[in-house]
Amino acid sequence: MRRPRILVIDDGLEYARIVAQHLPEFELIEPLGPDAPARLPDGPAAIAYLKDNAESVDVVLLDMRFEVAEDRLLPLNTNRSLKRDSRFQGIAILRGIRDGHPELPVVLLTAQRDLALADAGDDLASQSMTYVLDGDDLDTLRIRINTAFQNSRMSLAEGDMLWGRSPAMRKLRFRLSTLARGTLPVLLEGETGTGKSFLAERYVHRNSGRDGPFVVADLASIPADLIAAHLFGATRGSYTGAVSDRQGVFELADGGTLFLDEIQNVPLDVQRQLLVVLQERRVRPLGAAKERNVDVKVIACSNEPLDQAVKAGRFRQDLLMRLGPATRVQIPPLRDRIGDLEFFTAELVTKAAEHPEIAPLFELVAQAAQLPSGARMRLQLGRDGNADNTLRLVLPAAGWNLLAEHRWPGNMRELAFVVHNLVTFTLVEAADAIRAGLPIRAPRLQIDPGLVAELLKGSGGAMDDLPAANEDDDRISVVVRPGQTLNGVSVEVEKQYFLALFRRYDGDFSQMAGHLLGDDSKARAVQLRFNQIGLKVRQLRRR
Amino acid sequence: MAKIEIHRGVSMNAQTVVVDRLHDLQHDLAKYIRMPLTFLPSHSTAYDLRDALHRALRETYRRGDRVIRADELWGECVEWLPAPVKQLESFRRLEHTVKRALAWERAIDDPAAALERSVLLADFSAIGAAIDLLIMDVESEEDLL
Repeated sequence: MRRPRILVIDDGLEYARIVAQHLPEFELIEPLGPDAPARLPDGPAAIAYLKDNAESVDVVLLDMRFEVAEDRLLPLNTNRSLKRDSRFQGIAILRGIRDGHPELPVVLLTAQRDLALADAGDDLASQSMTYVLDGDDLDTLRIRINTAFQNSRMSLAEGDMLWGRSPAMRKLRFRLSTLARGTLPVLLEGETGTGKSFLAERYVHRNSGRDGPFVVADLASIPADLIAAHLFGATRGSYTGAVSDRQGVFELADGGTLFLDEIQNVPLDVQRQLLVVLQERRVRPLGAAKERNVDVKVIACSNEPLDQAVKAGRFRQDLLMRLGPATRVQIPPLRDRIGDLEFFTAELVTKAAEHPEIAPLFELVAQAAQLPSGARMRLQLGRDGNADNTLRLVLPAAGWNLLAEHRWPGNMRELAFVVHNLVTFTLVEAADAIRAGLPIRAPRLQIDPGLVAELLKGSGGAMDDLPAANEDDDRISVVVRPGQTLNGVSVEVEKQYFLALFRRYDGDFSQMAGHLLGDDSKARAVQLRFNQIGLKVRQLRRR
Repeated sequence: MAKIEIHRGVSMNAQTVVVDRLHDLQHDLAKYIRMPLTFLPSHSTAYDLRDALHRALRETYRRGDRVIRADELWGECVEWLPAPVKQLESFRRLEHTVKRALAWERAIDDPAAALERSVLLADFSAIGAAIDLLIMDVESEEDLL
């Protein structure tokens, strides 16, 4: 396997020397030829080089401070200060790189403290493929470069798993791949529909290296008084209705993985027993005299943060600690990785057309369009698209905007449902037309934006799950949800606040300006702010 | 407090300018005096260690084509710093820390001198911590300048 190729961007020579001398597992790119130092000395040189050579770079090492001539400094922001531009030049260069290369792995050679001084910490944390070397030892540098390189090679989809490119999901994937191989329990938290059980079975269990079965204990659907018997097993007569011995799920999962779905539903007295089983790795069925050893990898999930359940007195602190707060994995909701929506939708369109119930419809339409056998369905946004032996499912901008602005309270499950139905309905219409003898020949079908709106209507729209403005006073309630960055949380809160105001004043920006700025004439400023935070006024008015 | 005009249209007070200069020292001296040693592989030879010490103290930082030694970086900064800053206890501690680190230069040309990486690193790392303390003092003493 070839060595990862490293491009150093640094006004000094030290980092290039370190890579060349001490990191032989990486190949140092000589961007200025073999006779010049193996690094690019400033931002303009780096941007120009990457314009033509980004494909040959695996990882960029980027220094933070550049002491170079004024005309070689990229501006950090509009209020130029040469000192600041020089001190935080790495951030300006990174922005330049990201304009053309959003997925190129970059390791910033600086401390988190410097990022905080530049107010850039949140900004960079939300970026994909940006890493910070907060330390100055060789192995940390080696590990950081390797992580950046490995993450960049991860595919966005892996079988049925749709990972996408959001930084949060990349981190989650890396974390789960590590946790899967260990013996500690894994705690998955996330809203409904984020794919907890799917991840547990298709990723954690499959990567655990365990040969035993994957057993699911759906603790939300079992009566509370039967949960103990379900988990640990029971002997005949140990409780009313126990007409025979039964094995618990811990025993059934021996050698494999036990998925405790919705663990927050376990009654407090059973939580204590569960704690003992997790600690001792031995289980005693109800009514049995002896304990039995069990070798089980436990994955627990909850659709509410368990520390909140602890605070409410519904979950034992010691059990939470045993489940391992350190191995807790938070699956982000779809609205926090909306940048991946297009990729997810496209993948789900292709998969939906291959679904056994839909495939016959797809084949009928594909045949009518004279596509070769084995053709697939592909999502196309807008008008452009090439004929490439695929049946294109065209989603007009109006339909796409509805998807993009939806809050997806049901997360990936809801998206899969909506896409599945969009594909089905569109294919059924086309198939009906073909069966009626109509000459359907073009390898493209258009989704009706009205259908998108209709399907989304049932699951809570962009505004429907938000609290309304209180008409009695100036207080407006907003829901603060955890986000990937403080900036993201802040924008989300601002959006909710502005939406509530929009409702209160029926979309009258003059009145909103009066409310916000004490000046009705500043309606334009308020409207601009709506645009800046991603609220589409035209769509809001239509609703 | 006096206003000092530096760079294009950016107005900073004297205190901010001093803190800024100390951040420069943190970068140019404290970071780069450590770097040859911190990035040295664990299996390095005595020769590697001596070479790293040479680069740490005699080729500490580069500005364009100019290679600057650690004692020059320190001397430039001391000369620049206003007198009230040099009266601070935290400055005297920094001065002592830097002198202890610079004293290792004698060992570069003395093959008999025993060099231990952990000791060198401790002495060099102390500079960054001492600069941090001085920055905190300058920032908290409102009437210093």
